[in-house]
Amino acid sequence: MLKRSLLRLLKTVALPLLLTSVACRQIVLVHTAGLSPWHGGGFGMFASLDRDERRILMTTVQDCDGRQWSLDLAATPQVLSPAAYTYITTFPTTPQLRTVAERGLAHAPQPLATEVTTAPSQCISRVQLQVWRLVYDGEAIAYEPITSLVEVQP
Amino acid sequence: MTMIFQRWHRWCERLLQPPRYLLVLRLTTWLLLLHSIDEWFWTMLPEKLLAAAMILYPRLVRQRWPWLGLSLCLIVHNLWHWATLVNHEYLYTYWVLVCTIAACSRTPRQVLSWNARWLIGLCFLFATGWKFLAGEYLDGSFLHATFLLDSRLAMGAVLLGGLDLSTLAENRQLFETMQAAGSIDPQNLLSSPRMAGMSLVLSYWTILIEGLVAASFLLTVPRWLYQKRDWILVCFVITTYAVIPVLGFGALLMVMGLIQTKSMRMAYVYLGLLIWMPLWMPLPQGLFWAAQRMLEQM
Repeated sequence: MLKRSLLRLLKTVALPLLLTSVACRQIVLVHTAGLSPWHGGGFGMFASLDRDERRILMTTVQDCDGRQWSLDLAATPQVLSPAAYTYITTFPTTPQLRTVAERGLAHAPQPLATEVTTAPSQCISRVQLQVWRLVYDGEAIAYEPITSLVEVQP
Repeated sequence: MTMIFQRWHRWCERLLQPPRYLLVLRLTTWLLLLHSIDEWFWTMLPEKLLAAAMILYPRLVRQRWPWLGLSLCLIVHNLWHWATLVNHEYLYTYWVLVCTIAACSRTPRQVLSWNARWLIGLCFLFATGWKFLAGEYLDGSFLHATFLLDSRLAMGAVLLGGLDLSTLAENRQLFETMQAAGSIDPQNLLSSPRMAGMSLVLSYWTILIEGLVAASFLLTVPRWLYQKRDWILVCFVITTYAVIPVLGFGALLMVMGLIQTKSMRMAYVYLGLLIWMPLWMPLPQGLFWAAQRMLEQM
């Protein structure tokens, strides 16, 4: 009798329940942990502009002499592989951003020649990371932060 | 012409001969083989190989072990890439799990049919819910910005919004520069009042049609809505995917629609739409771009 009831449950309720649970979890993660609404099984595609390809990962590096420059991590595979970049912009949790910032600190990335007038030192004093999302008010597009600023020092 | 139609009808009739669940299981293996080949992950290789084996040896489709294997492959792939996968990739995993339960069951058709109806209904329920949750739909801003920035919607922006391709290219250039430079200051996009108005109308149309699909598949009352569910789903698929072709999602919806419908006529419609999908889905976009090229050359 119990076996028959369990089988009946498996045939009729299991998958709808699984879909509902995953989708509810996605909604919670989007609103609490910065997951993109387009991903994670919540059926939020084409509901928000906030998809991973449109997010930006702002990275600022400062050397020991106080010179500051921005770093494009999408173009720095030594610090972040393309797959890892996609993952971090889709689901940017603070521990993961901290790990990426620590990797950036260890790598001591150099700025482009146009960004600073004098050559920066090899000593990096700080790396800051923040993920921003695209918004549109009916006239203009702009970026707003979706995570808090994560800062790592040696 | 009549002969072609008769042959097509006879071929469909043969395909739809009972048991229909076997056709649905076979179509599912084809979808598994072909879906997401443009976004390749190496974790998809086992599922593709297994699906190919099930197509080459059709007897495997009736057995439970290949389906259990496919389920395992899809679950691992899903867990591995959970954060980056989009909706229909999740739906594929759920559907393969349903097929596995059906292959192990004495009533496969009922298992497939019941779950297909619920999975379609729930996925549209969450899709409709998200349109309210995200807060970018009720004022039309999501579709407005998408028309202005997404090249896949250029046809809609030109035909419905009255914009020209150079304006859309300027908008995309502006956004790409903004993104590359990491500029966070607001930048005005070029648009028109007609585009803004159409975006609002289409936003409400999307909420309406998706909400209707959800209600008609999940509820059995009102009876007229429940009985019209197949037509509502077909209406959604044609009106949406002719503008934004998403082959993988559209094809799976047709397979799921095919097993849950009680009407033979609708079974023909689902099967026809599925088989001709690689042609009709990209056709409007193809015609639009061909016409644009001709206009440029004139």
